[in-house]
Amino acid sequence: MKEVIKTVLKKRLIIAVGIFVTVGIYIYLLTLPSKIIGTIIDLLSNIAQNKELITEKIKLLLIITLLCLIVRIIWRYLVAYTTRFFEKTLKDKLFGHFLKIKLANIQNIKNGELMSYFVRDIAEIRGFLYRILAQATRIFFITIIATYTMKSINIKLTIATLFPIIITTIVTIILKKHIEKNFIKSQKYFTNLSEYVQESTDAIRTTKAYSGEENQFKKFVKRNKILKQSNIAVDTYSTLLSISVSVCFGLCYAITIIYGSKLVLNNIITIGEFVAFNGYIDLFHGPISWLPRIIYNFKRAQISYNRLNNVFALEEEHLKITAGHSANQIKGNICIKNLTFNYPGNLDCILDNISIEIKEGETLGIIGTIGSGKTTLMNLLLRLYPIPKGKIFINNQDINNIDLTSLRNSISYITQDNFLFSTTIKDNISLFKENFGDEEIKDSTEKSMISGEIRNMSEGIYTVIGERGIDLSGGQKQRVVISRAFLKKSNIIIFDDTFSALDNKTEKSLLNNIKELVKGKTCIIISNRISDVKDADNIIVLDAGQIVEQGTHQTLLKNGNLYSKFYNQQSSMENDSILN
Amino acid sequence: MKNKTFRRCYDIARSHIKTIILVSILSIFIDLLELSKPYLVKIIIDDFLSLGIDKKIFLSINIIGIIYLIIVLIGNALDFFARTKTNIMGEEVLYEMRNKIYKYTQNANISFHDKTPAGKLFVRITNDVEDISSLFKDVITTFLKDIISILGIIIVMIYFSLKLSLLAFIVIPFVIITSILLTKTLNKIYDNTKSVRTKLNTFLAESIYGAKLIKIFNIQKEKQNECEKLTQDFFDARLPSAIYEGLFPGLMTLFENLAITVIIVVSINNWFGISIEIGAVYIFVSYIKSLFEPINRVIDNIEIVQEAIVSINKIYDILDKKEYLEDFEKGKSLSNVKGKLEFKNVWFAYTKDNWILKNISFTINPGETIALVGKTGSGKTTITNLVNRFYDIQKGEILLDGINIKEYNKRDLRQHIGTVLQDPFIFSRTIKDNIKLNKKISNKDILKSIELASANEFVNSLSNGINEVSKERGESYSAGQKQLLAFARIFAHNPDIFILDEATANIDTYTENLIQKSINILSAQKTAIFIAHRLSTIVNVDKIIVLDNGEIVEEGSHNELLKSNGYYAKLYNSYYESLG
Repeated sequence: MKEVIKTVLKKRLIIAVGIFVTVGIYIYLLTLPSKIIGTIIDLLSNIAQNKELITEKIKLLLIITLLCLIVRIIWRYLVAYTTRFFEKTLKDKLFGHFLKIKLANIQNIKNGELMSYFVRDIAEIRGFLYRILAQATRIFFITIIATYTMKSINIKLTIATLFPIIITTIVTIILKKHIEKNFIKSQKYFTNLSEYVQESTDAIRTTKAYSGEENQFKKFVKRNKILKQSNIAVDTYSTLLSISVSVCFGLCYAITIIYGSKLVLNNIITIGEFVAFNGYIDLFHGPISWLPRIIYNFKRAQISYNRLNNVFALEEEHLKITAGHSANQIKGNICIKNLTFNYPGNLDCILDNISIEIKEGETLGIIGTIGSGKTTLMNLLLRLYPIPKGKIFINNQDINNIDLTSLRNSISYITQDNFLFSTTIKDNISLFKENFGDEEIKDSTEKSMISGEIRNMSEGIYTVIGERGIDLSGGQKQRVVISRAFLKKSNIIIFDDTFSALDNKTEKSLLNNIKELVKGKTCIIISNRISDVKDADNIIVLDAGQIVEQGTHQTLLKNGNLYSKFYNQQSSMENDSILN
Repeated sequence: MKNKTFRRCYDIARSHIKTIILVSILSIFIDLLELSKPYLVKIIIDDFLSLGIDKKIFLSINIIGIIYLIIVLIGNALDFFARTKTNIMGEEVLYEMRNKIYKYTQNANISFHDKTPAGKLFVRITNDVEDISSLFKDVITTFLKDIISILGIIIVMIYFSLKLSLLAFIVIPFVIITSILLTKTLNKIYDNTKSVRTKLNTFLAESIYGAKLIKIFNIQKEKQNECEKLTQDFFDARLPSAIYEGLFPGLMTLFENLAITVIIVVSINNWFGISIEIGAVYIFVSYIKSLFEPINRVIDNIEIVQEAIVSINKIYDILDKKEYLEDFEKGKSLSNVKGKLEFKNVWFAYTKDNWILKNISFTINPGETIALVGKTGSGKTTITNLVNRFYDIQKGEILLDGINIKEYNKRDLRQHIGTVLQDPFIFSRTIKDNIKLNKKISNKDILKSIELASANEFVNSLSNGINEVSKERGESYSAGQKQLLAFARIFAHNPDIFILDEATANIDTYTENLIQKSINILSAQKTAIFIAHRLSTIVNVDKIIVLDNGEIVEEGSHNELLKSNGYYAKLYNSYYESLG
């Protein structure tokens, strides 16, 4: 985090200096018009004599106004450039870091939470930077330059008018504290309400099936009312704030009227200076409302800064190992020796003393109940979680010694969550790698039994799916995902429960294509269905993290243990009815 | 069209007319007080300072100073009152509108929810409603106030000098044109930025969701490039706004000083026979300065009004569609259901003439169980959605215990039908609340239902048992566990007719056995309709109805259908073969 700030500062230090200089000039220019108008008013008392002087002053006024305009644009542009550049750099850096964080470290963070790092926290810090560059600098210069100019007219009058301004600044800071407190509450209630709305629209069928409409509405009204009351509190405090600022300035003007007039009558200041003084007071309008905002922005930005710092502190994966084995494709002799595993910070043993050997060209079937550790085992094979040395070997190499990029490039792991990006089907299969031609992609969809459906779409493999495009059914998604394996043609291919939404016919043909694909390669098929694993060279039955059985379909059936129990359960009814 | 919009606005404002009138009258007073302030200063300059005296017959500078202060205090007090009233009104409107839309979405039928994406409804209830509230909070009252203050300033200026005022007003059209042009340009930039930001955020959200996939397929580099491209797009889209934002106040000051220049130049040269007092210069300068603010605000407000009207129309376009609203009370009440269900020549289409069901007829006798079998899109799910009147049929009749279901009231009808959906919806509430939903059911009965549904083992494993709060949409539970909970719901509510849409998601054999147990208990007691995906589920039903393309192609018991060697037999055999 600190590094990001440093790099941005280093790269854009000149701009930061530029901002400071332009603000100084801008504020100085801002004080001039009031002064000139004041002078003109004084000169007006003898028009005939001062005509030329007045004309000159008028010209000066216009020139200064124009200069003000130009300096202001430059300054605003510099501020925007710096803050937005900072935002972009921070976002890019955070994203880059996020991509490398170890899976174990991000798994416990909710998706919404991760998103809020990118959206809310970065915006908060950018907002603070903006306030510093755009407002704090202005407050600084206005206080110095305006006070100095005012003092040059009359010091007592300056003190008399600045006094209420200081008091009001303190009052606004206090009021702002209440606004802030209530605002945070309001936001919480709003989120609460939004979540409720989202849930109820998703749940509409269930609600209707149980005639729960009225109840849902009552609960909504309750939440809505709390939100309303909280919003009203925020509004009231905000109104109070702007009213107190307005009263403060009224008081300042009243003081100038009474005290300033006395000074005019005593010939200490001129009428023009009296008028100009009112103009200077106007300059404080902005700062008085900015200061409390900066203070609370700072508090929020501090929280966001710490949150981001914590994210940046999460350990990254080391994709490259200098001494590591980095052949482009690793051949697939897999050997797992006495592997015991529990997730970091979790005492439950997920895998208990697992030993497996898969030879190149073999297919392993894994079957087991939910939570038996099947997916965890695969996650470890890809080193998505840290794993002790001496447990998993590929080609006699400890996988800790293989660099991550080549390890993962050698394995096609098709997961069960069939996640798709909202982009074209092509990009979803090639996963944005550009070295695959359309024909290869089409060929892979052919093998995964989805080509027919894709051909029927108007844009073929260029059809955009997901949020920005068309919706695919669960079965279609699964087959698109499976196409990745046919395209990538890795030496090790894993299917983790990826056939569940397919009908029997499609599944059968697909399994045949897979058999063709994995000839000479190492393959692991995980499933709950006997039909998916029965042809494997070796089948492992996992239960509560342990291998309880191991063998071919035939030997396992003969053993009469868990596997044959599964088999019987899956076919018992058919057997019964056939016997009938 | 215009008329319709007006009626809609009136509908929202109707209950707040009194507040609007009160606040409008107050605004006139506040404006008058505001306008009198520069006039007081003018009196001091012209009648006292220029003459070098501090007392006249009734007045003195001190008295005017105190009057000034009193005006400030009264004005601000009135302003505080008016603004608080307005804010409360705005929040009330917000509250009422949210309630209205939410109620509509709850009472609208399923066809409505099919056509309206949940995201759209969400935006209506959250964002669009906010637009309307800003119409009430900011516009309705300030609009009038600003118009009055613009007119007031113009009148007072003309009162002092008609010719001079006309000269000063030359700049007003420029102010208006610039304001409109800049607002338009800025809005274009903001809209553009918004769409780029949406793209960026969608990308980030997706990457977070697909973090594991990105690691597995090593596409960190591709994703990083995409991220940097999108953040650059956002940077490029947003930056130009800084120039226009900087330009706007600068230009306004320029116009202001131009007007002042014109006044001074004309009066010192005695052109058009104009000469002026010093105090009048002050008052003209002050009024010109305070003239621009309301003009710009009126232009901004026009924008807000337009946005609000769009939002109002969007919201009312939904609210005015009364045809989607369901009437739960209309019709006979229903008790003591025997459970005989008949479909007589039923035709149904979601959209006109696109028949999903064609002339469907069948009868289920009390206590019988039927299974619907067929490909995706054959009409199985549609049939189950007709029984509880999620949709109404176009031709034919559906009879429950010999009476057309359209004659019963929907609330009673739905209470007697229990449905277990493929992916049952779990609210983010406790297990207990998820089972009882909106009915009062004792803890004892809930525990009994959980036991009957064989969900006790799963529920007991939760650290808080039936008081465990589920994550959003039951994300913490597997598909099988969600179905078990849905069965517990059925046992707790004890409907007379039971509909099951069997899960396609992979459920492990153990859980599947538990589900099967529940199904057996329920189908033994009740009239039941199954949409089966596993043939093992349906071999024991009384009757199997095979659907194809909205028509019944086969009908009979399992053994009968096997013997007839048709579509069903083919389906059955292929499944059995796949088991080996």
